[in-house]
Amino acid sequence: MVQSFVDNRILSYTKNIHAGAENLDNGNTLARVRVDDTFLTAELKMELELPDLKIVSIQGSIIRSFAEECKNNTEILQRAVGMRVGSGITRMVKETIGGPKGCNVFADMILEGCNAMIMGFTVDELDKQLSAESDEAFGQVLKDMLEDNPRVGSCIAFVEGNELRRRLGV
Amino acid sequence: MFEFTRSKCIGVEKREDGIFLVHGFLDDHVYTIELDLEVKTPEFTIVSAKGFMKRYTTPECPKAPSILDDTVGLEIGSTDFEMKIKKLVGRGGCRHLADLFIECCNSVFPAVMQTHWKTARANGTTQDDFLKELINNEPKIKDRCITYSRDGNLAKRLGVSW
Repeated sequence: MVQSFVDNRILSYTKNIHAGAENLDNGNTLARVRVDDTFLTAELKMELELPDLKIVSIQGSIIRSFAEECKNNTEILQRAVGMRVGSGITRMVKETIGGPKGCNVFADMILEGCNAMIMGFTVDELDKQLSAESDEAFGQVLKDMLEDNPRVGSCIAFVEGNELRRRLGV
Repeated sequence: MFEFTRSKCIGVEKREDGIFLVHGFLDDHVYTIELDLEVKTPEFTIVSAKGFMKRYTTPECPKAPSILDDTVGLEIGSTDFEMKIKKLVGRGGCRHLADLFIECCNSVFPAVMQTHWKTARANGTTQDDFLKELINNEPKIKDRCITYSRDGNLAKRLGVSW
């Protein structure tokens, strides 16, 4: 059959964000973030000291932007040096790096990098949990996770009295 | 080896009736999540939200997108919008789904701006004239960051003040 009509519209806007985290030889962690959208391209690299999760160095640049002036804002990033990833980091970054005297793009990228680093810590643990070879073993893994984890109410899996908890008798 | 990567891709298209369709995709070492939003302009209200957890960690995770129905009617950019979504979609469902949801919502305003810029450019408007018009007519952009601040170099270069 010959196609006579294509229900396709050119996108008005696209955005790609890539964030990653890895260990460094000096024992610290490096987070990398790249944002590429219709109006802007930006890159960020930050090194975090362990176990404090403190930002010890940060570099970034706005490579392409709709307003040329955005490219001159990289100094703002240095305000993040010394910040520790933990409770209150979102507000601190949004107020210190973002806002009327800052750059919201860099603020979001720092938070994305922090998230990548935190998620990095969970991957190995999740890998062990999810590699259970039987339903029974997997059930035990989930039970241990729910019992040992204090994040009650942090998402649907940790809601008090949900189906999973009832089934596993947690 | 400590290693983690996350990619988020957002695409926004404009339908003829002024509704913006947003498709978001999140893929990382742990999760794969898809999201489809419809946002009505100029009100910036969510008219539909559908999500799909494709790769996840617990049997409860696939139920998280059912919470998205509760976001219908919310206005993007309203006071504490992000906080509301983090609570409603994040705590009530999945915080990674909420992360993608916020990212998708934040893409609607630039998509609207891009459609205006496309029309303006076709009519011969320069980039600086477009920026000037944007600053003069769009309250959301004024003082939202150092570039668009009243004391910034952009305002000086364009000769705009408020």
